[in-house]
Amino acid sequence: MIAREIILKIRENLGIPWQEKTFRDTFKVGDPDIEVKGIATTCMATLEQIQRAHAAELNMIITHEPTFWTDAEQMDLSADPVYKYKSEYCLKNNIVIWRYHDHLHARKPDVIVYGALHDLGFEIDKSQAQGLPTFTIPETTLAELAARVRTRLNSHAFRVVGDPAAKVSRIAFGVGGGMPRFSEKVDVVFGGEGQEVGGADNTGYALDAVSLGMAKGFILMGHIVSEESGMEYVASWLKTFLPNLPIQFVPARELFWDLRF
Amino acid sequence: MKGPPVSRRKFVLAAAGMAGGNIQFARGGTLAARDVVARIQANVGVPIPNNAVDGFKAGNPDIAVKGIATTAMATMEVLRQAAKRGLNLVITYENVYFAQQQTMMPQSGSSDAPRSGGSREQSQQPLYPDDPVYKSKKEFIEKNGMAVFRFRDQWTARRDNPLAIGLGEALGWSRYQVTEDPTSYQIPSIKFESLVDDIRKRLNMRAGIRVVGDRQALIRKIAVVPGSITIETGIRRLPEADLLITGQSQEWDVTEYAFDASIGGWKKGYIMLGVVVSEDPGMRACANWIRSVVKNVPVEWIGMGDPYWRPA
Repeated sequence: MIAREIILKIRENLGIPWQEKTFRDTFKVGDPDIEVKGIATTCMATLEQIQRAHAAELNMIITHEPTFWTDAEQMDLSADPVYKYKSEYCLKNNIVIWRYHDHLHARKPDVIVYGALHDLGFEIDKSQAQGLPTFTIPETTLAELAARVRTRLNSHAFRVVGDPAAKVSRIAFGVGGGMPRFSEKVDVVFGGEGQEVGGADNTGYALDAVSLGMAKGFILMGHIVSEESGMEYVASWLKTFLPNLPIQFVPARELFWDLRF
Repeated sequence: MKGPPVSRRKFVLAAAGMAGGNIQFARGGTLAARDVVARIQANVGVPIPNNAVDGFKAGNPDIAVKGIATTAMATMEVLRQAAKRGLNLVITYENVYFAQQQTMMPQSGSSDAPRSGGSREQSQQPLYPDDPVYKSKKEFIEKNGMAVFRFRDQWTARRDNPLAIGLGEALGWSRYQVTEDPTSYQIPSIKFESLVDDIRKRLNMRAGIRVVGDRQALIRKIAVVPGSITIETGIRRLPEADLLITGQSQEWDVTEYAFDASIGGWKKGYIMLGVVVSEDPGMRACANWIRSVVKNVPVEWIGMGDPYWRPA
């Protein structure tokens, strides 16, 4: 089967209409007409992920995040040495990369959000795993909650704001770049990554809330690690309608060093 | 918008109050916050850029100024410290009332200026007026007779780039600065791993630092861009340097680019310090500069530090 046909199969099995205007869910590099020997799903098609997929003889990569470092791909990268190296590696090795982003988040439940909640052990009604869900957990401390989630994710970019001893139970949950905000009804905001200032401003808000004696916490899990579970699910989902093709989830190695504190 | 080129020497002269009329508090006399701010603005050496976010954001601009605090971010903690030290005019680089917009990370822009948030800010909604954090903070500022002025776009419009100079200095690299370019440094070669240890100590960092690249790389040429950067800046600065240091970017833009470069065999590094940590030293520089144009009133920098911790 050629790569283009795989995408047609995905569209047939999505369960939601295809958004023809998507600029994200398209081929990023390689020839859509190449014969697919196997598929690797991953959250981010870094050069390392591409090399690992190639070593496993999986020549089609389905990635959630950009391959060439921009979302809308309006930059001329042709003179950039890293771009040349990465794109030539793909072409030389007959690798084709397709991004699967908008149509994952649009599914009901949001495959990425639900996958993350499930893997983190948060019991939540599937029907609510859409957009940025809010839910309640049995009361715990911010330190315990943060430690539990970090252990599951093994994130090297894990960052927390707030009093470790704060008693918390009401969660607003986001993954990747989708960032919920605080309100009176929320004790802890979870996000993947967010702007420290100029966006939801959760860092400053949490610092102030804590100074004022409110039990609030802000947990940044890391972008890639927070969305990875969804891409593991995608691999198993693809197998249901592509039974004869080798399909593997290739977890991203952390981009960041594991620094101890 | 950039001001005229100002050499380091001229910057020092300007900082000494020789470039414009400086402000003297008469013995026992008082000046209103808005007058002090007007004099600061008149002495920056560059005009206030169009669409600047600069302005009074909280409190009363008519208060008599007893002292000035500069800070990267006027958090409650910073305001309390300022109030305790009798510094009732707070000059902040970032917001005082947080936008609290539910948002995705912004798309790539093309700003090289060390600013954060940038053009999107205008379209953001303020906090709900009945938000308890907003209300308490506002009350604190008013009860303590304070005024909070946001000083970002004009301060960073200076060609001499005080944020980069400040961060370079905090990292101990002033003498290694490339002539006329405070965003470029050539330090004696050091192994990346050792340099990261040194940076963490110098900036007193906790969990806010995020590092990408080859631990064994030898680092000599460093690009320092406080605030946020876009992929355009990353792609322009990283190939020419061994290490790029900034406040923040996204995991899928400059971070992935730097990671790919290291996997491709380029011996390079990339560090995100966090926005506030990267801007803190530039506001210390701001206090030093204000001291030279506003006399006879205490001017102090209140550092924000690294806001983040991490469970073991």
